[in-house]
Amino acid sequence: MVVGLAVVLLCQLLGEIFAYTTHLPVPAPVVGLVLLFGFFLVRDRWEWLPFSLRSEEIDKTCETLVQQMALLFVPAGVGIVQRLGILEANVVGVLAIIVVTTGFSIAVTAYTFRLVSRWFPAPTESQE
Amino acid sequence: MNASEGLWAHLTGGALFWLTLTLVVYTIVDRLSLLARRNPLANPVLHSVWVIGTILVASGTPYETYFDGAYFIHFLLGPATVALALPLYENRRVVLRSLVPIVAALAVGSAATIGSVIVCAAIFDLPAMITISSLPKSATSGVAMGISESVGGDASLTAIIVVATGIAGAVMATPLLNVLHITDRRARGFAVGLAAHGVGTARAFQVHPLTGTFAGVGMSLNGLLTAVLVPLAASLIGG
Repeated sequence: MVVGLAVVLLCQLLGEIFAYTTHLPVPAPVVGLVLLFGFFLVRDRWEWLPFSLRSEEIDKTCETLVQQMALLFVPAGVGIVQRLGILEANVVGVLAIIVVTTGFSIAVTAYTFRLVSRWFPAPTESQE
Repeated sequence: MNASEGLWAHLTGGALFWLTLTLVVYTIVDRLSLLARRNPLANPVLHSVWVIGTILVASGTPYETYFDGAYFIHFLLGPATVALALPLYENRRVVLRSLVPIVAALAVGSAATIGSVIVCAAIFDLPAMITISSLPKSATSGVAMGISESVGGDASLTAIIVVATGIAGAVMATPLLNVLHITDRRARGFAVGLAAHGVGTARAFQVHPLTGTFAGVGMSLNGLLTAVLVPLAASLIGG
């Protein structure tokens, strides 16, 4: 758990440093994701990494975080109690934004994905 | 003030109580959602939010007091986004084979999301502050709050709209995609992750690991693209 959390936080921290120093509009956790992906690639190829970095613990920490992701949105969601006034005053428009644009977004994205994957069918396993 | 009132005030004024309450409420609600066979309407985030929100309002507790405790959970949003590297790594071959549809759906989906918010806000004549704060609504909370602040939005309002978007997406995704006859798990997952970030991704993992992985990919890529597109859109609408 400790080594897993340390690696994940380190990736995020490096992401923060990257975003701060380059002034690029990239979110630090997303940079951290890319870095951790790179770490996994390196880990499974090179045997010389210290044992603690090769342990299953890192995978287990990531699994736990991903599995429990929904819980992590609760505190921000409860923040609604703070903004009831402005939301109530614009309830129809806000609900439209929340429901209509989200449904639209899912539909457009899924249709585009399906359309383009018909134009460019995925190469079969044997071509790898 | 009698002893029990004193104890109540002592507990509700501290971080321990609210952190514990969040975990207990979520655990119960999540178990009920499991009993409801993960019916989309039994969304654990949705029900945790109104239960805890009601307790806060009923007890007259300021959100800041609650958040002092709940912050320990909130903080993990960033690390959880980083941790999506694991399912992505494990499924890297299938993701790589779908690279073209991923890039296309990302560009179209992300732009369509932001565009539809602007159109919707214009139709309903929403105040500029709500519009600006809603632009990054499909990006995951931690990412969206940062984007919102950078374009002069209200980060707390953004967080609420983002979580509500995630819940709406997680609730409607399965029936909506069934009506649209989209059966490809990759397309389903990617769309839910792009539109409904982590809450949608959590829902997608409940359905199938491949759907969940593509949701994670959609969520992370859209976090990146939203960070680029929202400042452009905000300057366009004069925010």
